Amino acid sequence: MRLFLGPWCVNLLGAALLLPLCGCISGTLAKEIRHQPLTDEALDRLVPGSATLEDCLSALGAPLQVEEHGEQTILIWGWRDVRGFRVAVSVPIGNNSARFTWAEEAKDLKGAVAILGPDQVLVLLRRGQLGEILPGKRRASQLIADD
Amino acid sequence: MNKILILLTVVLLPGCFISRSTVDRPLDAALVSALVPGETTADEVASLMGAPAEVVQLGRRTAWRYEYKVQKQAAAFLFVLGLRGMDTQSDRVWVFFDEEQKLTHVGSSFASSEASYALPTL
Repeated sequence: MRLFLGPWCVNLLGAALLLPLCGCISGTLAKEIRHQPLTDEALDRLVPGSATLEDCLSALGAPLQVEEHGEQTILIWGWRDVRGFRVAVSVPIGNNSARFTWAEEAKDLKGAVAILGPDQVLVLLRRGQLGEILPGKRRASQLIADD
Repeated sequence: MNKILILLTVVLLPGCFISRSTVDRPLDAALVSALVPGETTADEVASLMGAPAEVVQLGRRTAWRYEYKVQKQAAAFLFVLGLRGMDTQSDRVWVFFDEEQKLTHVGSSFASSEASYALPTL
């Protein structure tokens, strides 16, 4: 008996062979957007020593977070717009399973931090990765998880 | 051709989802614009906008946060490859009060309508 495998059959056979792998190997291309980015133009308008709390709020909108730092007030804006790729492999070992993951993705938030003095005048404006520009030992991932 | 479409639909649909989730109630921009620094009190803000999501003590002053968050997700999985997109946007308002509980500053951003279901492209 001669078995003829047309293109349809080959595709179905390929799919059938791939199906058992679905639970073991997975690749995910992910895109994550959080909040709106601030523009350099808006940030450039704020000059330390002369810009006030009012100026910061009108130029940059509502911050993600407001904090007290001694006598200073800290306003924090943050956003994320990243694409990443992740591959995960699960292998059964005896009664357990091992999972290996390889990921290429950005983990930090971009953002800006405005530090205002007791007189509500801008003392310092930082921009960059929040994990690096936040005062103290704060971490950007905590900030975004809390927001 | 129809068979191909039906087969593709049957194969692909079980691996797709979209979801939309929200946190708190939508903020009314008209209410926010009715707040007048120097005049509106904390009691009036609370009666207009309800309880804030967060209160921050700033020395003798305070700042209140109101926020309405929208998160949209879309994903498609085909055998071993998945595409997943997540977009989180929010309407957010911070109101600042002096030590006499009078409104001094208002900062607002309205972006919840910007959230989308976009998938990443290869």
